[in-house]
Amino acid sequence: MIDRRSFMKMLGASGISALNISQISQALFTAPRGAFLPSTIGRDNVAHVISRLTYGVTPQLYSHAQAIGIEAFIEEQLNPTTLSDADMEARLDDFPIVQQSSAAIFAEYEKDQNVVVREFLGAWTTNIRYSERQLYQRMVEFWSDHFHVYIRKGIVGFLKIDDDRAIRPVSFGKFRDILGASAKSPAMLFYLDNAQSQDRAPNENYGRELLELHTLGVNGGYTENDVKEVARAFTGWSIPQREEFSGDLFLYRPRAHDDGEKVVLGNILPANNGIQDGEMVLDILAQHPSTAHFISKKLARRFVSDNPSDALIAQLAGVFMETSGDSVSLLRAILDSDEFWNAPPKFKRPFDYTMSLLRALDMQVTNTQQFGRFLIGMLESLGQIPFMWAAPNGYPDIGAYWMNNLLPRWNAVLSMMNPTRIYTPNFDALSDLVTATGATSIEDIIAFWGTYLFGRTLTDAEFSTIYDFSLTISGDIPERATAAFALCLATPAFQYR
Amino acid sequence: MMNKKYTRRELFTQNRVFDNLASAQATIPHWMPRLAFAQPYNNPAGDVLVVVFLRGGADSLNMIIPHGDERYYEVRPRLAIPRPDDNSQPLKTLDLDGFFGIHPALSPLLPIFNAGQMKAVHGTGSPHDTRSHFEAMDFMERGTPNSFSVTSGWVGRHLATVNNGNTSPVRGVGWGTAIPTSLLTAPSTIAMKSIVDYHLNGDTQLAERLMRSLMSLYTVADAPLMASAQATQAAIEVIQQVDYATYIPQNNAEYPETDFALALRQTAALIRAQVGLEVACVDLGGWDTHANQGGAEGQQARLMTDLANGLAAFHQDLGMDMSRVSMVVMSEFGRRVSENANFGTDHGHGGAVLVMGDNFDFTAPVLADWVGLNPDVLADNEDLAITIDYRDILGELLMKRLGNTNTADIFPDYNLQLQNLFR
Repeated sequence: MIDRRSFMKMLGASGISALNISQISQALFTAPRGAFLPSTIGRDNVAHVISRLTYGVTPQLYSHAQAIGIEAFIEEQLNPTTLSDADMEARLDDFPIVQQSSAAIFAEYEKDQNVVVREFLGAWTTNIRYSERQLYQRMVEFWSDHFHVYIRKGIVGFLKIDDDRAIRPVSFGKFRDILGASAKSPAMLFYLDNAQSQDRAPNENYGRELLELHTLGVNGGYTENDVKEVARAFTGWSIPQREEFSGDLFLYRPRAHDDGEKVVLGNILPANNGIQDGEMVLDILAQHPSTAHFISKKLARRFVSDNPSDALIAQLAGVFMETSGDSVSLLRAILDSDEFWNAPPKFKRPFDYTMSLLRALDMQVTNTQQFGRFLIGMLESLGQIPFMWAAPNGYPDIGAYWMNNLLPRWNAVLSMMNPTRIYTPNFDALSDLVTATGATSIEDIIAFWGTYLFGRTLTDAEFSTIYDFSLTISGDIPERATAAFALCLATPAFQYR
Repeated sequence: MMNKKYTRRELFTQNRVFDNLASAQATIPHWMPRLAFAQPYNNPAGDVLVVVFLRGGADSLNMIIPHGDERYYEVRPRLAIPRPDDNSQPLKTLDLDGFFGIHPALSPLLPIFNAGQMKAVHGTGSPHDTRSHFEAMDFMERGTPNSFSVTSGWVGRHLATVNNGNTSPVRGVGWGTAIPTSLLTAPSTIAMKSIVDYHLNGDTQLAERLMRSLMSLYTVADAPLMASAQATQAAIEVIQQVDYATYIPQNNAEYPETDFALALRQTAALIRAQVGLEVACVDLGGWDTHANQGGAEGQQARLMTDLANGLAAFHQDLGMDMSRVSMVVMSEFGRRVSENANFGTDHGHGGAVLVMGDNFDFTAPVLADWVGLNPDVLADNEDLAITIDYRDILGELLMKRLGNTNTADIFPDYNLQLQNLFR
């Protein structure tokens, strides 16, 4: 909460002319690069944790985290089973199709994959928007990105339902279990063609990406021959013919398996080892130091910064090796690092940005079906519909990749601020927050938007611009406060988390 | 300052401050061949470059087919495209020069080849040693095989060094929701999906005020974000004058309703509107055909149909204006020479590049230093050998057609071997 003195100071600043603003801007611009990191400088730790561990602040989360304090909040998030998700689970009832198995859905909706995909995305975003277990959801997304499948290839749209169901329970668990869930996932077997791989001439697609993208990393110390040997080891890991789809769709086909001896990364897989060939490969890869390094780097990139330090990666890799790649231990190590607390701003990916808008507005949905279409259209224009990236590396997690597409982000704010027949921002909840602070003037309210959305006092330049914009809106405080809120959502600061 | 306490109902009206999304449409002028600018932007230095990237590693051996090489039919017993004179097959290779031909799905390109406005370069690629899609694309688009030290893209360096005085804010466009690696660090370059949608929504006057406020806020953003915001604003001012909704392709060209063709159609409109476009990058994905690739028909044939119909429509639309356009179609690598057991092909090495334009020095349809497909001449005994470095083609194109003499900066540590493809 802003104190009266600095409030008055701001009030003074708000009256300055456009000329002064440009002078301030000039001064800011000519300062050394990196000196101004608008989203994190002066940000309080609660806001930092909210923005990194969750999909963004909501009115409820804001009050809750303030009330229980930062340490208790982190412990809650690291122990998700202590948090009730009854509300979110009730909302998932809106998506009945995806509560069935992939086989059952395929039987009923074979000609209607788009309906299934829309429902899946509806359920996926419902988890993210409404779950109290925000950090857990972030890990579900992290592993789902890591073991990415493209839901537009063939029947992956159906198979993703089982894939999601397999990844969720192990997302806060150990790496070998997550790797195993993915390796036996019909969606992955289909997507990377292993389902067709046979002893006569194995298909290398899964074997290569298993080494390059899922475990060791491209420079992780494997050879082209290892790729071929791994592909041989997984021959026979398959799915049934479509007319035989039922229940669990993982199918090991002994007759398609190459029974010969293989050598993977110097380890001998004995002849006639059957399905154990693949299991042994996964064991070898899951405990390999290159895997520890590769996963640690990706995790640090997701939670800390685009370019995490070698020291942090090495430290996390050590934790990975000691704990068999335990997700929660890795998260604790990240939260214990200075680098996490001093992390530079991380540019939100389009999906993150969209979720953070919906959460900040506490968007109330009145028509789930139409809202689903609206949301998919918005994510498409921003560039990131979940699982619609064709290549197996998944959407990039580097800010530079996403920075050249700002216009759809600004338009997303404009769309969302307008109540429609299918959604309405929860202005009541936002009003309650404002009321609780005692703010009454437009200046107070704008200052509070900074606290709520960015976890810090607005800079003078930010305040002046937002205040001046609000002055141009016809109407009284409500209209102007609404306009100021919209502009805050479009600011550089809100593009970062 | 007001002291009244607001109730929450009063504090936030459900007003529609940002309404009137559609009202901006009415004021747009009729389509004209070029914008009504006092001085239209142009590319003073040379051709507009269009780069098409086939993501996934396109199997070029089944696109530009060496039907005169007996070995091709031996290593691809199920996937090979029948010889041009194989009258037992309805769909077969379309001959170009007696040795190479094109896939039947590429038939819309045959008249362009015959008119001397399209060339294929075979046995080309990047000499990196990776078989990873992602490393290969990265090396190729940055233009620095096997090196991670350069962070800009080759097109980005071209635009930064060409020194042609073009002040347009839309010198480069990456069609889609992000720019490709090749455009990284390019000045005055935007990602755009749709010309029609490239404006701030809502009431026009409000949008102008909002944009001014945004520019003020983004001035204090980190440098790349500030640059992006400013490029966006400048581009909007130019793009919103392009009345794409009434754009009619010339010469009865008909673009198919695909994302790929739509990007080319919009590229043609920007060229016609003279907004100062110098480079457009278009992606076409789905070429990673490990399984069920198909032969004369099937998965890859469908991709080729999309590619060829789009290119042919663009070519027809531009007509005489092709003389100031150069197009390159490339992929991160070719696929393995031998087919696999799943009616597909795995990651390989050398491939083919297609070039379209109207200023070739080279007269034959296919440029290749063909060494054949026997195991002893293949790379790693299994891949088509690279006999022409892809930088030789791009470098010569930049020099001769785009007026850039700084090819040593664009492709560092590499001595171009001119192929005399362009004039």
